[in-house]
Amino acid sequence: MNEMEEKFGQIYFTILGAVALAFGAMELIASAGGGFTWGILDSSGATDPLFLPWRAIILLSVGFFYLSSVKDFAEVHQLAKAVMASIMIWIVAGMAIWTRIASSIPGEETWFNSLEGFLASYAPPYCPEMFLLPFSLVIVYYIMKEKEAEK
Amino acid sequence: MKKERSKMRSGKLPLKAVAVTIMALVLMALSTASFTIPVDAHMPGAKAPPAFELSPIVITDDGTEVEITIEDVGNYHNERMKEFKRDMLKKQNKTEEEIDKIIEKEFAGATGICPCLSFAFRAALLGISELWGDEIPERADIKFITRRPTPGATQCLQYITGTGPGVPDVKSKGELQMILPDGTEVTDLSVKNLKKYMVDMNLSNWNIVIIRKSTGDEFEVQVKEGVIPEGFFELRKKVKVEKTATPEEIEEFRTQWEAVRDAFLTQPDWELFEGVEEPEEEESDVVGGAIFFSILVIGLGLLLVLSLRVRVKVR
Repeated sequence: MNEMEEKFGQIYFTILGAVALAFGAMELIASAGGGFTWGILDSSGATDPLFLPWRAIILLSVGFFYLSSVKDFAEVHQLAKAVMASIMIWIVAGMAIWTRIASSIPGEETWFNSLEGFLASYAPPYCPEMFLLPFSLVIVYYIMKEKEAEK
Repeated sequence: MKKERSKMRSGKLPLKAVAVTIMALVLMALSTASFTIPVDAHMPGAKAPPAFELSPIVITDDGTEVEITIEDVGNYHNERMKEFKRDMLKKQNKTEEEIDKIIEKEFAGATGICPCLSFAFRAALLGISELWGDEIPERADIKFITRRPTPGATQCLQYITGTGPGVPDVKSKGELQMILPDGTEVTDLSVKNLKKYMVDMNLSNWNIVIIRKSTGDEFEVQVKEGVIPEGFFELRKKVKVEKTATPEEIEEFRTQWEAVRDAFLTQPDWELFEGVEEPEEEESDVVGGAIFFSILVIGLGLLLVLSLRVRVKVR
């Protein structure tokens, strides 16, 4: 990892950590207040209200992990923190995506959903982890770089 | 004695005994008829209503929140009608024991939830939600103008406004006014007096105006044509007022009575009342879903390609 890549990683994951922290705080407020939906952002916990506070804790942890990893980012232990934070996002977002896939196939009163119903079940709003998911994939680049460096 | 016994055994009754028996039977039938005049509050022999879900009317009475369910109103109506019946029977010089027996028999299984009461409850529920929205109305701020001079509808509105006798926990009172479609104002809302106005009724009587006194806003609830079955008013007159209905007509009226009650208990507002629009179903966001699904498929595809390339490199 060169200096430029390290600098980019530091800035990028500082922003991502701050956003994750903000989302975590928002989910914490949402779980205390019974949840809410704001535009395409869903913190209602409609599918699983008991998991909403846990999601908040996970997001706050993600934020802390990212932010604590930015200092001396090229160091492997620090990079591991960012990887850990990304994995946490992947697990929660993966669960949310899997829930959508599973619920999109059966119809309300039939075995299989209509095409319209199938596509509509992927419509917004989405949980914050799903928004963070594509941005968290950047860590894969750094893992590859680390692997190359090892060789 | 022996002669009489032998006559009875042989099945031959003296003419005098037959006449006395017939007379006794006629007298018994007449006296029974006098105390089984059907009370408008209920329909003898009617089936129980189907399963229904109606939210309660929530109001505040001098700062205290009060929830009024249709069952509360039905019980109140039932009790008031029993009271009316009791007074009627007392005037016929019945003993307390006889009165209790008659009331027990006539009101057995009655819930008090009749078509008129169900209509008034639904109308009040709709009017309050239209005028107050999410706010909880103060009882004293509610006013009803009813065109329906039946005990069921009247007592339902009396219960909500707290203006009826014996309504529990009333601290403040709303207002109830009865103005019939022909402009006649009825001030005596006792069952006895209402009976006078219940002779000729039609669709225009299925009308209640709800008023928010503090703002002067009004909302009129009028039952749609078609909710009340064809011939209902004529049959009602024959069965309840003129008492000239045949058993078939009584049975037909009972079926219609049940249908009207069940409609008010189960059907949505836009199917029952004029001017209420059916809420549009939220259109599902197919485009948004399709975009997300495409991204998901492309993402998973890329992931698959990437992992395959890594495997090939490793080999």
